[in-house]
Amino acid sequence: MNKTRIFHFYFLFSERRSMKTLLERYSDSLLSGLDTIPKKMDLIVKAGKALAEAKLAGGRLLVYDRNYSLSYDCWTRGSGLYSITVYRRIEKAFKDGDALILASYHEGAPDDLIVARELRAKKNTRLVTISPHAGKNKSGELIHTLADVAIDNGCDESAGAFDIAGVKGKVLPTAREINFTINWSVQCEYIQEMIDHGCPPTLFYLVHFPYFKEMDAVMKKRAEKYGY
Amino acid sequence: MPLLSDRRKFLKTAVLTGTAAAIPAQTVITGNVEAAQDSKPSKGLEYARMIRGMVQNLLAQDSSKIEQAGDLCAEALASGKKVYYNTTGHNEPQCIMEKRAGKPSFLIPLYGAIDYTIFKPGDVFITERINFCAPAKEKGVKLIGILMPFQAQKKQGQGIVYVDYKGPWMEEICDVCIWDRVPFTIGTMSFDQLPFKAVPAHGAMDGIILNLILAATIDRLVKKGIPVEATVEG
Repeated sequence: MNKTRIFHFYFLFSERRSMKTLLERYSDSLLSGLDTIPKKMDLIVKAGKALAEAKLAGGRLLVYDRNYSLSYDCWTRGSGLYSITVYRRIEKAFKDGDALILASYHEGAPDDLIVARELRAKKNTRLVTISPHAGKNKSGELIHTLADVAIDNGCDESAGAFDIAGVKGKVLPTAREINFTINWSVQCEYIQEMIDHGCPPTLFYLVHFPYFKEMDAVMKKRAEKYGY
Repeated sequence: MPLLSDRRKFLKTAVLTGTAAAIPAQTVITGNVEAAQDSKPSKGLEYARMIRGMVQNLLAQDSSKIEQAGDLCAEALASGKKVYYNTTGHNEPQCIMEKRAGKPSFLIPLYGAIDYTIFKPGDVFITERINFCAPAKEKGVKLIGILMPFQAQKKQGQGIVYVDYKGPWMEEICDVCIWDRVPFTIGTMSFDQLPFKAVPAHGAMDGIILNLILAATIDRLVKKGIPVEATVEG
């Protein structure tokens, strides 16, 4: 293929790309990202099992992401798990046997690495990471290399944000939505695994529903008694 | 009112047979043929497919609403008005206000109780809270409602908490109202031996809706030659 043809193809490709709106590009990218999740089900199932294994052995279930976005989507979330808690915001230190879901938009952010190492400094811990595995970070350690189960969110270091002519900087990342979906998918597997072991996890009742206080009191007692 | 009727149909089916079944079959595209042929998908897979179906359903049925919301925001910004987004509550701040790169700088977050004196006629307010809508409307603000299954109010709601609540409903008061596809059960997945539906979806879905509105807005601003800036990681 000569240079003229290469340029011709590049020109056509660029033209086609530029014809798509940001709305179309965002929608396409989001759907493509969601489409990759079923292909990672082996890891998602494995992650759910690892978390359940830790819980059944008496460990705690924790979640952490640097901006607490995903963490707060789990913690005291109506219809979510009663026993999950947020590292650093709620629990200040790891213990032996803990299991952590560590979500990130980066491969090797120093803060994420600190958290992963803090967990790994304890005995019998399980680490599930949801992060990019794009391989761009050649210089340092990558958080997914520290994990028992490492799930690639398929995004790049810009968290799946878009370069748009007329916009300064990359805009509208998709990684948050992908990470959220992977996280809840993992938790679905965890719930099923716990049920299969005869330990159906306690759910957080809906704060805004009638009889919340009464239901919550029951759920709290149950969670305290059984630990899950 | 397609939104209302679709929603009722969805909710009715979701209550009877589960959320995943409520999503119209033609809008559920798994993207993974092998996985789709599984006779009994795992719960994690069922959840991932459900979110995919919700997004697909949203794009198929509410694209005109998203475009309309983009029009409102872009017209406001082009005429020097502002676009606000409220972050009050448990879930909402997570949608876009976390300090990471990529949020368009024209989107102004409002924290805590709303000071309605900041609103000027023609501004746009994107909200998930029905109780913020009427006072903002009185100021001449255009309202874009992201309809969650419930509102974090003890006295007001979207109909599930207090049977005597008479409105206004978001559909009635907002210029554009987009439902996040999450049923009133909040939990979306049925598990044997669990007392109610588990696992929410609105954390992802509300963020997706906001991003779609922002994408439509940016498209219009760029077309008009109005510069847009993305925030950098804080």
